[in-house]
Amino acid sequence: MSNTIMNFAMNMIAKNPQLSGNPQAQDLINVIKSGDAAKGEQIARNLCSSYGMSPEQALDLAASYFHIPTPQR
Amino acid sequence: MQTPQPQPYTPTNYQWGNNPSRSQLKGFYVNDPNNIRPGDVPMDGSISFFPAQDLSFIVIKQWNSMGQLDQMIFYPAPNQMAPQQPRINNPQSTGQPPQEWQNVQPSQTGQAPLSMQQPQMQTPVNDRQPDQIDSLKMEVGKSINDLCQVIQNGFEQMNKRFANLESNNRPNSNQNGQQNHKGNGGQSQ
Repeated sequence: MSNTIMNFAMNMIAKNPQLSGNPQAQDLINVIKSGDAAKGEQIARNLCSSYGMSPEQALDLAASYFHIPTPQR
Repeated sequence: MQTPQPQPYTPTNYQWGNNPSRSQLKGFYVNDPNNIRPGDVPMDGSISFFPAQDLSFIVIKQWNSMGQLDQMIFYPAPNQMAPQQPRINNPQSTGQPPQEWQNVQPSQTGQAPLSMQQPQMQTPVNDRQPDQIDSLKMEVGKSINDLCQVIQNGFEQMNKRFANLESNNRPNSNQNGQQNHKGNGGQSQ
């Protein structure tokens, strides 16, 4: 069931016209599909440093945006 | 009689990035390269241009596939020495021009090259040749002379107009004085 939901979500993301023509987004989608957690984490950390915030701050922002409990550290 | 069949709605699939005829430069003018925020660079893979207000540099930024913001800074080239490739700066760059541009010799045409120590659109006065300074002084003096001539002509015209006004008002002033004397019944004296 979870795989079905994941596949559904990935298909929706991949077919989004704003992301289908974006090479950076395509690379990120491929990273998610391949399951390369290390590379995904590196990309996330690079994005956080580019925006001038720590990964913990980014996690808190994402949790508050999606209304999910803050992950325990 | 056949009724027209309703056509099914088919949304047009607009392929982002595959329409070069509508491509537009993204970016805006900046005073300092450090004032460019990551949010100012779109994440669609396109390049954003940020020229300086005085056009002393142009910053180009683009997101790469690893989530990092690549940056290039272009500086104005000297008159006869153009760089072969643009510089690729890292985020720790000081924003200063490369060392090889700081010892540029003046060109043979007599025009002083752009100063690379402090990128400017106009050559500083101290860097110009003596003959250029003399010619500049002559041009300034000539323009001042012309300006003075214009002002003098203007004053002459004003004097003429005032003289005409005075000559026109003289016969009327006598008549007005007599009328006042009559109106006041001899009290004007």
